[in-house]
Amino acid sequence: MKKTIITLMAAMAIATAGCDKIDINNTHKPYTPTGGSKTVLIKDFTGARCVNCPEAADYAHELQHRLGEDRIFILSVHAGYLATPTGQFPDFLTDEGTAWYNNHDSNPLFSVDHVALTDGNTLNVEQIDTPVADALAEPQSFDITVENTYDESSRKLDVKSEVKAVTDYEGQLYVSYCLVEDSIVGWQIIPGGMDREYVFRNVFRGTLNGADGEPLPSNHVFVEDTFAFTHSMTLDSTYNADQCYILSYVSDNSKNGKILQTAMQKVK
Amino acid sequence: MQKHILLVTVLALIGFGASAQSFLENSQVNGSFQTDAQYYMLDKGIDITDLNGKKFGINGFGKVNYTNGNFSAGIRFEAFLPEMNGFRSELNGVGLANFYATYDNGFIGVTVGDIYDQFGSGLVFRTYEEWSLGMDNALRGARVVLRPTNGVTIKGVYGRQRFFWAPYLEREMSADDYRGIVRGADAEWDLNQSIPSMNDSKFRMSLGGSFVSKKQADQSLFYYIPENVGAAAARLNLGYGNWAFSTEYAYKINDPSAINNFIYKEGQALMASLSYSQKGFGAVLQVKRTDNMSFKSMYTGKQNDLDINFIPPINYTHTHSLPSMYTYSTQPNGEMAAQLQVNYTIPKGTALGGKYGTKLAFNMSQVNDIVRDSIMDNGQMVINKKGSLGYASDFFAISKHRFFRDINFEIDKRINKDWHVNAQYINLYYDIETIEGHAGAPVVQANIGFVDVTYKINKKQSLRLELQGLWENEVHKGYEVEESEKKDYQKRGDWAAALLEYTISPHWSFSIADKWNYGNPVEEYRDHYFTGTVTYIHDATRVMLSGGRQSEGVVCVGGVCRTVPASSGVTLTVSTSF
Amino acid sequence: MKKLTALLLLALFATGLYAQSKTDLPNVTLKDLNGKDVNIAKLSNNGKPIVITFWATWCAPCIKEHNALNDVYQDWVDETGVKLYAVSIDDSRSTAKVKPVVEGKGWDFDILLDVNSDLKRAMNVSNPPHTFLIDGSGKIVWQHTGYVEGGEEELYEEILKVAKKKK
Repeated sequence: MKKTIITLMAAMAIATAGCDKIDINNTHKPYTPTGGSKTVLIKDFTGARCVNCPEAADYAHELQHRLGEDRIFILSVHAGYLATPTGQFPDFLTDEGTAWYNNHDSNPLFSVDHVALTDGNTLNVEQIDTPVADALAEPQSFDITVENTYDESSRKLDVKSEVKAVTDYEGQLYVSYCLVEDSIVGWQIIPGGMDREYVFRNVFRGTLNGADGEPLPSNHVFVEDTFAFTHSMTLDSTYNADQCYILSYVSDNSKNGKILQTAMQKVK
Repeated sequence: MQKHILLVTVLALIGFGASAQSFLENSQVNGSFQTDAQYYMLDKGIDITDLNGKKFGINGFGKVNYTNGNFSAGIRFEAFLPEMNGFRSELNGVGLANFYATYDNGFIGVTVGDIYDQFGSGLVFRTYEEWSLGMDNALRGARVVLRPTNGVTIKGVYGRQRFFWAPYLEREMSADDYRGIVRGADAEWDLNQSIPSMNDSKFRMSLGGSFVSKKQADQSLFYYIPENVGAAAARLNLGYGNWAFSTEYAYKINDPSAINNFIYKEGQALMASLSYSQKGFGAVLQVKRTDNMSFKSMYTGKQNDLDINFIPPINYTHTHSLPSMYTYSTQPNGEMAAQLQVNYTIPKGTALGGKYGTKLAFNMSQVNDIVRDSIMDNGQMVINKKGSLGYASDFFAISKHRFFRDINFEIDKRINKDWHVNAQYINLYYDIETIEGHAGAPVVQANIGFVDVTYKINKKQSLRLELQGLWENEVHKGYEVEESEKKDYQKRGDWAAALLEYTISPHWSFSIADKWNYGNPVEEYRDHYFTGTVTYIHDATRVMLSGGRQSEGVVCVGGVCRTVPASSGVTLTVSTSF
Repeated sequence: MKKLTALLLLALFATGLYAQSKTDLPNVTLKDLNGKDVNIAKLSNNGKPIVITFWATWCAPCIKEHNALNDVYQDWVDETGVKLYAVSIDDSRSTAKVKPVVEGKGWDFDILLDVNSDLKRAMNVSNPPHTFLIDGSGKIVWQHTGYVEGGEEELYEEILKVAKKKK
């Protein structure tokens, strides 16, 4: 009898022994670059009146910083009730952003290469680590180059772009061009109050070719196939051209709009 | 594993069933089911202009228990087709949510399947299911209970927790499902039952201790996540005559998580209660301190997902609609709380007691934050920084930041054979910004009162009238609320509510009610919420049909809450057990 | 998996059909207000009826029902010898309050604590209040959910039926 209990308790002790105490001076993992040249787009659905959004954005940027700023792009899409412009809060709403957001009911929310967004789900920021790492490890299928010509006086921007297949690929292929403005200062709710000089990063200002982009001429492409696109637009007078970018991505609608490759190019 | 358990259970059942007629005679089956269905309608009056394609919400469950002597087994099916508004969308689906088989002969008890249990007051381990919250953190695995001698109970549990409909097997789990394995052991020794000379002693004492650990995989790209996180607790219950004292202390090692912002501080909790009771009088004082005690089997878990432990809130649970609009929910990262409750019955036959006695109750509870001081991390003074020890906290210091306070007084009096009155006054302080996350919203400071009068028409029929009022001290009265702030003022300001119920015992109840947010600082929110309800009860079957508007609110059970969006429509509830 | 589930269900129902219609009390051990273990399956009242009610300190209709029952309880005991166990399903947040509430309200019933909802699950109680009537041989003969004013009368009629049968 006694033996049974002692054995049982000893077994419990062994089973539960060995708890891990992490050295507090060494909690951060070292950065280990992954190979490959696939780029990844994180869409951060955020809002100026969303108290948890700045922290989530920091997390996404920390991830970008650790895994490679040339490999990971962040697009801050202001959408949803907490992004609805009121009072002194900045207006970063866009029709396309609202369409992408697709009636989700909270911020912050994330998608990684559109995965988990178009099938109705979204990610919390803590959940993006793995999808980002997975997406980085995927093979590259396309290469995108963007060339911007900007005329200071007329504020006219011409975007010339080439999408080149790096492998053979079959799907329902689309390409999208987005205007992004970085480092805008404005009101943002933060935990415990209001930051009147918050710096909004990578703010999505709209697309040049619709919410879903435009189709590639062919859905079955072969390596070295190249497609050219041109677009023009006039920058809004309130935008700071020095901080504007064109962000472009190729997506596959046969895979719920999964993004295959992303590229970014400064306007100036 | 799941399949094997089922197979064994089925085989065992069939085997037993085929072999012995007497077994069948001892077999007993009971069960229950419940369906809650809502039909939603557009209602411009309360801003519902789009149903988002959701006209129906149905939550249902059916369960069957089978018992035969020392053996029992059961299953529970659940269906959310889709889930009702206010429930987590992950619930959407149908399936076998729960099953178990238990053999218990008094000396040893073995359960395989889904386990609900708790150690002590739950500070390190509690799995439970709360249908009204859509919450279930059952542990699927095994449990062994040993009772070697009178008054000694030893328990061991092992398994993985339920996470909506996610699979339990490692190889079937999705890539972002980091749920770990939970293991725990608990021992309790009741001296009065184990020592014969103490069996009928006025002095009562029991002791207990538990240890729980989770084994999780470190999937983080940024931080080293501990793969084995342990928590331990010790408890003591003492009693002498009319006095009772109980206390429990819990400790948890470093457990960085999404909830605590990936800090590596240890967690602690202390609870104590002292009570005195005699016929006609009872008083209880409770105190509590928790610090970083959120303990989940997935370090990325949010909200109430995958809680291994349960931090009991210590505040009064209101049941009338206006006072329960602002119900406190436990703050997982730390709080200090105290509560005093006194119940007294003025005896029958005295001047104030009258023929039936008068029941009085007083309750006061307050919850404040703990004090958090910055600490040195890599040569910098930081507070709550990711990857650091977080903060330093003086165990006995109370922060000036008050989350909640509730002072209430209740009187319950049967005046004569036909009339019965129940009334309560409540003074409430509710930090809505912290508790509900409404950034920038002013604190709710309100006086609330209700009178509940029942008149017995005859032996079978009665009428009940309930009048309630909620008056907020300052919520920007006469101040123009900015467009941007409007949404934070939903349900704010003064309320009045009335309910009239007519019952025909034992089957029928009819009621109509209105809640009116007449003092909302935003004019368009000054809405009426009419509802009508018919309930039919026959033995263990209850059918309830109600229609009207539901205001936005919070439903809480045991300090765990879910928010319910405003809605308009019809609700049908059918429940039965056999 | 699905087939196994179906099989399990069938097995349960099949055995259920053979099973007696009146069920016994489940083999669950609860604690009384003094911390003593009480095995529900072994409850007995010398062949007289037993009533088990489920309640909670936070459940308004439960408090009402028990206040009403308390007013008539002594008469019932005198007439039928019935014994009432009021099972509190309060969890750990309010177990410390149960005794002061019960004493403060002056209730005369035996109180049992179902802190882990074991009995609640075993007896398929969805929402309190829920009342069971057990006859002299320990079988559950009647149950009722909810409480409306005057509902105790129906319970009393059922108790009388059971008590008479015994005589």
